[in-house]
Amino acid sequence: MVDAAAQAIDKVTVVTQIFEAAPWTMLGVILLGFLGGTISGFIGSGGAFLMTPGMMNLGIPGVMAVSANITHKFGKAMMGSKKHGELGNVDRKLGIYLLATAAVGINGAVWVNGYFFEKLGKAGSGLYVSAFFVIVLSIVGASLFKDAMRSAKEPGAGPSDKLLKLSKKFQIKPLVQFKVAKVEVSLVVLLVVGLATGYMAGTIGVGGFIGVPAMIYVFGVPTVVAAGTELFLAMFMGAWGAFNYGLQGYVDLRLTLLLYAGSLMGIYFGAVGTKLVKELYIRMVTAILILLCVVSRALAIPGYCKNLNLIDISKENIQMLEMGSKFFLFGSGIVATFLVLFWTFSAKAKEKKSNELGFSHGLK
Amino acid sequence: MKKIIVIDGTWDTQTQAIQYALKASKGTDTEIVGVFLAADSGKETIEKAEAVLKTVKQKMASEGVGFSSYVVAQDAQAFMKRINDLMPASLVIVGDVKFSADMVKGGVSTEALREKLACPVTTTENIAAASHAEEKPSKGTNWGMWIVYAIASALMYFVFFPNVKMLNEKLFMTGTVLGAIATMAVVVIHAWVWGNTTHILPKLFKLEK
Repeated sequence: MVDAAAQAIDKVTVVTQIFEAAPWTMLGVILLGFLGGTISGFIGSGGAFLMTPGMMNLGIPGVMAVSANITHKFGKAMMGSKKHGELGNVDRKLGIYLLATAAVGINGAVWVNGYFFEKLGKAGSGLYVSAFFVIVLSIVGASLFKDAMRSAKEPGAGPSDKLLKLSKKFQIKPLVQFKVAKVEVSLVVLLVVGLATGYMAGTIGVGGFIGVPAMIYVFGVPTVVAAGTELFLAMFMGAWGAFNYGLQGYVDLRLTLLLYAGSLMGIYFGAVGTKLVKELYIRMVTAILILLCVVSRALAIPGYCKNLNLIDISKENIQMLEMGSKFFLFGSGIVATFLVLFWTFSAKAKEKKSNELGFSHGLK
Repeated sequence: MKKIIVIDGTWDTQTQAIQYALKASKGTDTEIVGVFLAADSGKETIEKAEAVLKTVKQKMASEGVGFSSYVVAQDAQAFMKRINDLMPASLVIVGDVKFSADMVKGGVSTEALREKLACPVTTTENIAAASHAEEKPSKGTNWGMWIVYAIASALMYFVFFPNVKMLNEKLFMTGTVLGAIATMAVVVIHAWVWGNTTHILPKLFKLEK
């Protein structure tokens, strides 16, 4: 096992060192912000699954990438939730219930993440975050992909209702009604989902990938309301996560501000897209993108293992794997963002055409 | 001539979908085609539906609008054949209609129609919601405030950002309650200022009014 002292790095200066050695890294972080912002505005969550590993690909330690991301998530969600709220997609009551236990999950995650960083340094933190990312998101991505394919084969079929039916069978009282989402959910189920969402948000900055599917598949919430509510939830979870990581001194504001530079431009396009683009496309993009990001992160794992002296692999092979990791992450993010923007603008053009008769939406 | 197809299951002259179709056709050379999705294929049901549609046709004639209609039972194949035969259309309005489970299994639902048909497919709920939204007074863009936000954003990136390195050591990354609160305060202020600067982008790209 690696000598922790030899791996020890100064969290206050590590970002400065990276920026001074490669100033273009700052542009890389802005680009990540734009890609993540557009996608998260579009699917209601998901910016983090690009931004966290993306920053790690740029050399930022895992725990600092997560803390910058969760801090950024807070403000981004604040603005995104405002936009979804204007569009009528937020169930605030549902968000508040989930938040109650998410806070506990976040605290646990911050402690574990900090432990790995302090004990095993940058490589240990990177390995823990990456392994967690790969395991959880491959399950989430594969499930979403399977469901999207089913919808593609059977147009009009909504999200799979297997989990929904199962949760209805085991509904433990008390049940809570949510008017905007038009669902009734067991309080116990709500709290379990909140805890898992919080732990994921605190560990990899991607709480939405438990929260949104759970709302859709377990609670039966419409996709757009799930997306809007997740942003509302993310705002408070982000605040709690930011505060806790801040208390441990892991938040470098420069990363957060650079992420904002791109994300708050992209998020508005994404949010408009949810009203214009077919739901099937939203689910398809989400699933494929998650799986590509999983591949990207999996390719980065051997590098961390080598640094921890867990495996023996040549430097050339590590470089090749790192290159592949970057290629998958940035490539998939750029393609997905392009698709979101293309579909949004195309749908707007189609809507404009039907508006010539005055009846596409509001009539004349 | 343009064509609007109205699909409904509870026809009468006051049917919401037909009201919307009438509204949209005003002042344009538009034909309205009604598709009555009957609950069953029983003789009595079909006769009743045809009688209702006859009344609607008379009302349309009095408004000077061309109207034709069809009664279709809950059969996915027959329904899609009828809709496809009516194409091309300019718009399909789906009114108060319940597609049976077999119809949905056979690939007929509002979402499926959106996927399959080349023309826009909307529902009365969507039209009502959009009409309601349009009735709301537009806030417009307050350009004065936008300039203030843009200047504040520029200050954040060009004046504050270069000093974060120094402030990290003294405040933000000290691992204290004050440091954590200060970090969050900056995030809130920055997200608000920058978010209000960039929120104008969809309007500039004409994605929003």
